Amino acid sequence: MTTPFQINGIPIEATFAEAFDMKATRLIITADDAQWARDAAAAMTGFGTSVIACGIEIDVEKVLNESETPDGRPGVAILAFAMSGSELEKQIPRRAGQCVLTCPTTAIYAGLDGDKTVFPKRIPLGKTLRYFGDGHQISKVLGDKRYWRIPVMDGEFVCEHDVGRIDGIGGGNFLLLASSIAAATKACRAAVEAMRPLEGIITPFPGGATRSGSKVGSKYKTLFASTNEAFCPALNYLESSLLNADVNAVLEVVIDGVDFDSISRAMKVGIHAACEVSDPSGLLGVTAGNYGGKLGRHHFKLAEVLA
Amino acid sequence: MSTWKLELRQPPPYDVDASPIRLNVFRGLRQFEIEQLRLGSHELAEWFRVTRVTQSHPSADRIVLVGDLRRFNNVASQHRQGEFIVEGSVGNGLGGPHGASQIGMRGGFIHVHGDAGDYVGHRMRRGMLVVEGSVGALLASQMIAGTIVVAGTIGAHPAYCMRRGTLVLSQELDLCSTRFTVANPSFTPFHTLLARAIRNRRGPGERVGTGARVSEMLNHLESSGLCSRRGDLAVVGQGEIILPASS
Repeated sequence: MTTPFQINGIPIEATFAEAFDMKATRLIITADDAQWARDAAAAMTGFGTSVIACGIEIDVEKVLNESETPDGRPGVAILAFAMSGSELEKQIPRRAGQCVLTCPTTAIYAGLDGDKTVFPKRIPLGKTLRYFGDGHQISKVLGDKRYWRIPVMDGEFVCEHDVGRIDGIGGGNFLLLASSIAAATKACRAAVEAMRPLEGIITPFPGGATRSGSKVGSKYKTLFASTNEAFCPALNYLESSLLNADVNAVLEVVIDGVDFDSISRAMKVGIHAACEVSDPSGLLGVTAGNYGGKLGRHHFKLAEVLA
Repeated sequence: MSTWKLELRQPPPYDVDASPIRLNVFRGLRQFEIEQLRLGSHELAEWFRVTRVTQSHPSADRIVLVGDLRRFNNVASQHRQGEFIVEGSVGNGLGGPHGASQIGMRGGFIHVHGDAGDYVGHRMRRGMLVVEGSVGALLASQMIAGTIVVAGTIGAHPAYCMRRGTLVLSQELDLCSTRFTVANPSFTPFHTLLARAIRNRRGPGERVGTGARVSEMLNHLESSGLCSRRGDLAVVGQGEIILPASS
């Protein structure tokens, strides 16, 4: 393992994180109070950790105050990523319909400000949800935006007609190699907490990290992802292992972002925070997951990201 | 994108059909051609001084009428897109259908800083119409969709045969109880969206906003809470009339 530099005495491996193209969008959920908005967001972002089986990677990007939302109420911004536009077009209306429409006092709006001339590819919101109104729905065009007002039992569900779609990047990552799960957890939580205020990224896994980092493919033909044995401490005797004997726990922080710079910035902030909160006897090193360039065209070289 | 400014030279002694003053008529015409448009038995230039205003950042076509235009009827008839601003008052038929058409205003924005006569928004289909002052009888009659905001008083028989669309008014109306529902409290974030859209409307190259009376009315609506009435039930209408809750 080559170690061109260290942070706080913790070696950073000279490797790169490999990420891939995704389709992305941003949504804004508002409600009468912050708790309803959070409840709706929690439901909508549930079961959205990985495209491997969830179909979509989705999480809260940031909490919004009243001055930052279209209708002057508290809210949250959500980022969603999928491998294809059609998957996003399937998942978003379903989740909005079952998780936001159902939540008291909420409304949902496009979080990407631009009409068809700016974002020609669109994901339906009210365009499909309006039919719940059974003919009592009201369409309103204000400026260049169309809204739908659907009568519901607490008043009215308001949603924008559709939302634009952009190209995003999924799979930005770094791995925290630690002597114990406690040390890994400490470093991981510091990293995720430091990245939380950053715009344009999400960390969709529970707590922002996964212990079940995967590699592409499997010995079983039906699986297209399986455990990344190179980073499993229990398998460090394998020739393919990339772990030293003193590494007993690895956590992978996975980052999806709206562009390369957002992920790059987040990796820098996260790795620095993890290293600064840890000591070299706990956090033994930081590396990144890649598949030799086979998985995606976006390569985040740790040396460049941290420069 | 063009802005045409038409300043009234003098009020006519009789009513004038001003329906040729429309953006889709003006589009592609040169100034002398606009001046030669017929308004009844006169050319437009006999009543108005026409100037083309250059905008540094034009965002929409626009006509600005300046003066006391109460003798001019059918202003902005069948308005489709762009902005129609009246710095003064207008006569009957604002934003109504043109000729034998069944549909009135179809989009865009009309803003009257003064009063308007009867049949404002008759058969309106889409867009937003804002009147800072008062309007005459049969406001929003046979309205199909769109939004009308009136800050002043309302004449007789408003929302007659209204099917859909939204009226935002500053005071309670004497509506027939067999044609309109009672006032129900209205809880929806849509009203904030609507108020913001009116306040933040942008004209060609500059922020236009609204006049003082509409701003005051929106402030009052937001502070007092809102209620809405639905109708006209006689035509199975689902039109919406938004009023201050205190009314």
